Amino acid sequence: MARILPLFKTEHDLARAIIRGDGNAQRAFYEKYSGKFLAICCRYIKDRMAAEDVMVESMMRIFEKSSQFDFQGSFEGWSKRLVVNQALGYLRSNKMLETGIEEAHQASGSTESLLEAEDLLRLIHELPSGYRTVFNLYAIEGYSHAEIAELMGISEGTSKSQLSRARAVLQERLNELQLTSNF
Amino acid sequence: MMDQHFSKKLRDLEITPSERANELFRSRLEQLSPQKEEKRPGKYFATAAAVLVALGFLFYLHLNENVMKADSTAVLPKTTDEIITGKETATAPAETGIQQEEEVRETPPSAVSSSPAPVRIPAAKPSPGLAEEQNAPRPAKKLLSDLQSLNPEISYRYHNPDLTDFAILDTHSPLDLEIPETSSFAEAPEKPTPLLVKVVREVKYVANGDRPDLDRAGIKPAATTLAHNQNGLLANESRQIKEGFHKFKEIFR
Repeated sequence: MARILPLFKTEHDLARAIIRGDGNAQRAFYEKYSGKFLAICCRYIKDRMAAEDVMVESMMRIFEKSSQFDFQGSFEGWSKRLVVNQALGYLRSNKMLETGIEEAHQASGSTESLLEAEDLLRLIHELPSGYRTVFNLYAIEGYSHAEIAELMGISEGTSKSQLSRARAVLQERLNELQLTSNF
Repeated sequence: MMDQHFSKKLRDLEITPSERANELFRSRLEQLSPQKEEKRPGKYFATAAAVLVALGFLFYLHLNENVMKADSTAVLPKTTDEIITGKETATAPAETGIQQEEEVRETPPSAVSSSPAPVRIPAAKPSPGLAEEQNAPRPAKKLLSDLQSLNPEISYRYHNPDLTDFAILDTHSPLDLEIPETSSFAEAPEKPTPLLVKVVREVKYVANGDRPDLDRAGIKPAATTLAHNQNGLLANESRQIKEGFHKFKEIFR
């Protein structure tokens, strides 16, 4: 697979090949971006296998809708938005996108450094689904509250309050972990 | 501050998919590929159409070639026949040769069938090549002279420049003629001169300073007869195409 990648000098070359339905380009795209896209899915979906399924479905959706790409920006960025939408669709279909006030899950005791990405991911996973989704969309993906409200079908106020609560829970968990690590 | 920390750490995070995910992707990709091909069936139709057109064209060429071969033995149209009156040329073929026999005129078919007295025109300038033909055997000459001795009014026309094939016009006075079975006329089979021979001969004439004559070279008659099939109907190009198309349909039925 690695031999195929140099055939596509730029990201847009790769996008053109994908639009043509080139199987080699599709495999090359998977090789290059599956890790990143799976990480996105894992931020939204706690279950690893479900996240992988959503990632693969996202890939298929990208291939199907690639003709809609207008070559104005980054193909990766355009693809990431599709992946996020796919993850939100999964949460919605499994009724995991409810934004009610939920109790945060108790974290399993961890003494690892908070600077590690996997630990941060674990903390995010401990958040209730609604908090987690809003936090991911706002803090990591960079969506505005208006966009989040449209994506999730909630009001901007709800989005803001969900974000605020998510931050509070995360801060609390970070403090707990800090104390734990000090002992 | 906390948002930035999370964003910085998680934005570029990559998680390697499991083998199960890779296998799932491969299977989904295989499902996707046939669908892509089905979306463009026009490509195959266009290829098939191009092949059919090419085959049809080749078949038409083949058919046309057969028609040319078949028509090369057809009777020459009367418009190009040379008419020679027997009275004036009774002695000409046998005694003075082709120079005097060439007192010909071209008459339309209606004139040939209805006009009792064909108008003669002066003989064309003899070509050097024609002199060679004086020595060539002409089985019809003797018979014609016999016929003209019986009826001086008889007229006849030649079908070919070799003067081996002719037709009795008999437009002046009907006369019962007895043609001996052993005559050269009866024995002479219709032996058309090959086109190649005619063309070579014509080249010789032209090389000797004669004016080119497509009729004499056998090219124009061939082109004229090409327009007629065995039934004498006009076989124009559109009908030939139509026939070719029907035969083509029968083959592929």
